Amino acid sequence: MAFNSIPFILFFLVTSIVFFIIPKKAQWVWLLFASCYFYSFYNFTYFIFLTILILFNYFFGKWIYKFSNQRKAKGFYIAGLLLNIATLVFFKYFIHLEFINKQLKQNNGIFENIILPLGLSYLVFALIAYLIEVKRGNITAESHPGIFALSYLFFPKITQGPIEKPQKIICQFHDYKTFDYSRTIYGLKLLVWGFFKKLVIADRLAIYVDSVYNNYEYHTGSTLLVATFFYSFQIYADFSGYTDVALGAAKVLGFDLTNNFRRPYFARSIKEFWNRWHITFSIWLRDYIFLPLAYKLSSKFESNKILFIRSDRFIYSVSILITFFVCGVWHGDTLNFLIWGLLFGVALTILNLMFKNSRKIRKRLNLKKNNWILVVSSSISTFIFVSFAWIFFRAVNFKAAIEIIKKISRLDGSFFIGNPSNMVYSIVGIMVLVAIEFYQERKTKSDLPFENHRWFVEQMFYALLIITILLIGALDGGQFIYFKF
Amino acid sequence: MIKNNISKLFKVISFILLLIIFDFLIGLLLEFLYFNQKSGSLYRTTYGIEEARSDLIVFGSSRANHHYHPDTLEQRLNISYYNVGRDGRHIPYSYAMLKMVLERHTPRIIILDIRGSEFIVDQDSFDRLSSLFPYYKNHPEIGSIIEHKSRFEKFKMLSRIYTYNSLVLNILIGCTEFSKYWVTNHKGFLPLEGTWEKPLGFSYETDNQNIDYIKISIYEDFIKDCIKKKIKLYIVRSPFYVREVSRSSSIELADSIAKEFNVPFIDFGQDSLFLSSPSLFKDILHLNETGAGVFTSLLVKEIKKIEEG
Repeated sequence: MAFNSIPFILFFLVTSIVFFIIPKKAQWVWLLFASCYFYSFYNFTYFIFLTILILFNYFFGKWIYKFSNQRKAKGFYIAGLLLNIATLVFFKYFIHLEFINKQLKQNNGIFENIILPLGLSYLVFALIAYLIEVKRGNITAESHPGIFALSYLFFPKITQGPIEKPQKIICQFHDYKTFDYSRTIYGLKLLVWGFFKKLVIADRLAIYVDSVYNNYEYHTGSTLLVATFFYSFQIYADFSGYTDVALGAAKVLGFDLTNNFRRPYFARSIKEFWNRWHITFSIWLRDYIFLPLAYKLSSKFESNKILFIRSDRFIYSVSILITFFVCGVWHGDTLNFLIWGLLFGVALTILNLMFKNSRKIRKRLNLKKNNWILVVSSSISTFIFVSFAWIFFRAVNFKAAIEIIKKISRLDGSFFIGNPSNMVYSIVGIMVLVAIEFYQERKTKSDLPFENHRWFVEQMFYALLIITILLIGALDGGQFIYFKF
Repeated sequence: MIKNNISKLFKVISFILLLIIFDFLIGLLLEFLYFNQKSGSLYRTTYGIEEARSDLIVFGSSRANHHYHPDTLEQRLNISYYNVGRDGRHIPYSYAMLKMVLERHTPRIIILDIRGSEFIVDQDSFDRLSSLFPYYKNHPEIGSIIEHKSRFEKFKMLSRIYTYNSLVLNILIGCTEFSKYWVTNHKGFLPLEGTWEKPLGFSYETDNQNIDYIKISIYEDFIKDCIKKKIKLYIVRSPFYVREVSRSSSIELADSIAKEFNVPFIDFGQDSLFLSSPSLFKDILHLNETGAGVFTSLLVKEIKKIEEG
């Protein structure tokens, strides 16, 4: 059941109404039932599988907590981590290896139809976070199996995150929720904005991007360049649109999820970009890979310099490269994703090594940090770099990505417009998105696209958003890009 | 407290009312503009459904649109002609068009242009039925076909604006005479300019198609409706510039079903004249105007041969 479908809207409506009219003690049961139904709608077998995985983690968490001062805890902790990692590796990478695939197909085809269960990557990362936090003693293990299962199966976040920290999410399911008008309206506004981003911007851009990227051999450099910039906006509108719908739906029910995006294309550096893009995933990587790794390395190296580089910089570089290696591999097992991840890792390493020099240059030129030329040029250059990296993310394979880059570098040939009205809608969509985000960035800093103290003006804005969705939204149920991860 | 709740309820109701009023007014305006267009593909579709009284009507995709030369067909068969083919539209669209046309007028001859991948599983063929939503209100007979797109379509169409989804720009352009300057439209036939200069392509993946049996059943219904109305139906595969290793499953099925119903199936797909003449093509799938002329002449010969028995 995709968010951008009529069944989801009906499902959400029924779930919300029933949620607020049943006795408060039964709220979690109803929500768990609704979340199970939501996932089973996609695949019942995988729902059972995910439930078993969650229950295993529930028990591992309990045992880690129970034996927290004993050696046993470490054993349970490692076993839990291995179970989660092995599950992810099996579904995401192992069965896709060519020689394994051949072997499995010969095995009466039992494994032939195995695909990655929807949302597994997000779930596994969230469960790993839970075990780590229990082990570190930052939280106590959840004692209620139903609440524990619900906090991981909760339907707004099961398919694409956000990857919430356990200390933020689990406690929310213990509270009773009452209907709150303002919160509901806030949630519904977020839902509308999310649908707008997905249907009017992302799915509209997808028509052009898909037609160009899926037939890149026949397109010129200029066309591929435009398709690449379009893809930057498509993937952002797609994923952040999903997140807004998830946040809005959870908000209506009384739950606060973390927003994964904070206008990332206004970032002035790659580091800032990752603080604004897929935020819960970035935090996960920072807290569970980068920082422990950097800490471990710094305790190993005591000299001031390693390989002629200051040891702190060396440790940062190694840790960041490994972190972004994991980031790339999490997205997929092809060379494309690996290169995509490492591109960011290498860029961050270089920028870190040059940090002092760039500050010196800025001082020599007498440029303040908020100088508008500096702000605009650094935002544009960050956007260009990120768009360049998206080529590896979107291209069908590594060879295609290289071919696309070669063509773009030549920038020759005629420009393919495709369907003229689609092109106009796409450009208008991007302009609306940029204008609203600029307004949010400079004025409100809110998740909502528009706020006004006059009720009628605000309602007109949201009515217009809905009318625009009906008028020019691509309403044929395009899939969300991040579903496949 | 009660006053506060009433005010909240009032706000919600007025927002819903605002939406309904917007939907109604904008939908009404779009409906007016849609049916008062003077040019463009939407105008041609409306004309084909509501006004064309030709003896021969061509149905199909862009290949139907660009391949059947009206002058040749009109002069050599001594009949009037109209072409309701449209870019990217497949058998579900053609059948919906047929149903609407037959409500008002029974042509003597129908040509249905078939593609090599006509019956493959492809949701897009059904999604593109949305271009016929504006006619649903006056042509409920297409309801059963529209349901193949999604079972919620009829409910979605309660919104007047949804009916015209993604059509705003086309409607606005259609209301002007702009498109007359950049598209030559001759009774629904759109000639293409330019020639194909690349070498002959080969198709190896023709016999492994995933067939959609809903499309097969729609194709059969198309034939049955023509037979019922005593219309001479010719199912044609027009030329394309790709050498096939073997005939596609779609074409094999289309041919055998046509034979079952005793309907002529004329296949120019692998005609040697066209495969050796790239100058007759605009691209690998479409003939240019010269190519359309040559093909239509050959088709007329075939039709005459069939008519003479």
